[in-house]
Amino acid sequence: MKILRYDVLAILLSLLVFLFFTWSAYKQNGETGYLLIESMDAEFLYPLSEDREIHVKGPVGESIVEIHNGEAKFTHSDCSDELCVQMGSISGPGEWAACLPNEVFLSTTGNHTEGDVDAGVY
Amino acid sequence: MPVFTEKQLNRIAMLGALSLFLSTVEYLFPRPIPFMRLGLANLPVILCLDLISSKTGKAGEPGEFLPLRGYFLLILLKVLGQGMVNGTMASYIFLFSISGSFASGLIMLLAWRFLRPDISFLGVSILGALVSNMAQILLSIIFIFGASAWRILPWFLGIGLISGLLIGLFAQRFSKKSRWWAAIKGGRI
Repeated sequence: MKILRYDVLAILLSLLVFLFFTWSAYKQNGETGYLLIESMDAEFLYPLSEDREIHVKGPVGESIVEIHNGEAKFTHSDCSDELCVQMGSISGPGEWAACLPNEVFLSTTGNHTEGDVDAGVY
Repeated sequence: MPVFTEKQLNRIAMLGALSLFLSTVEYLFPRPIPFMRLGLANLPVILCLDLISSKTGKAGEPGEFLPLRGYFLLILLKVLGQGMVNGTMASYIFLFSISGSFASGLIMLLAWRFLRPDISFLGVSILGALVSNMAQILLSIIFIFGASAWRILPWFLGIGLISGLLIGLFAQRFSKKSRWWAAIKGGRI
């Protein structure tokens, strides 16, 4: 059984491609993503890398969302049960939290390659 | 004039049947993603490469063990077999499967044709696995899952590399040891 010149080359090529994509996927995981807030009448996109407090208005009243240490959570809402506050922090791609009475929906995404933030509002 | 001689048809049918059988074996392995495969059914396709490129040299034969269209017919049979066994014939997965198989089939053919004295079943098998995976991921990024499909690519490539290696080594050994294969190469079957 012989292993020839281009066999080795094919293995190396394949390994190289594998390592490259493993590395790039790993790198992508390290970056913090964005918080998307969908409320009654508007959508907001905030980077998770900056700490801030956001006040969102809904039909019931005001919901307060806090971004801290790359995680987002409801800290207060004017709804009756505050289930949204109990949902805790979200941070990873595809995680979400919602306040149904106040119609506020939070979701976190990975880093946006398309639809990046145009400008930040402070 | 018939497209294939009877012997050629028999060879394609045999390899196609082997591919169908291997698809069934492969079905036993769990798959985290529907179009993720070990590539066992690729074995007959790899072996078939050796048949297109060699001449029989026997009188009365049309010169080749198998014409090029026989190779592509085998790939089509393989895809159909996989589609039937996995039950994905009428779904988008089938389109992924068919494009992955033909892309890798084409690359394997080119590698076999142009790098021939310096490449064996091993290298061809690994290249085929690589191209098949890349083609399928590319399609899934464009049509279904979007950019986040890159994340599963390392899994595909890693498993593809290992299974491509094993299948290539097996093909090397099989083509040397098998009496059935020797019979085909000798022009008897």
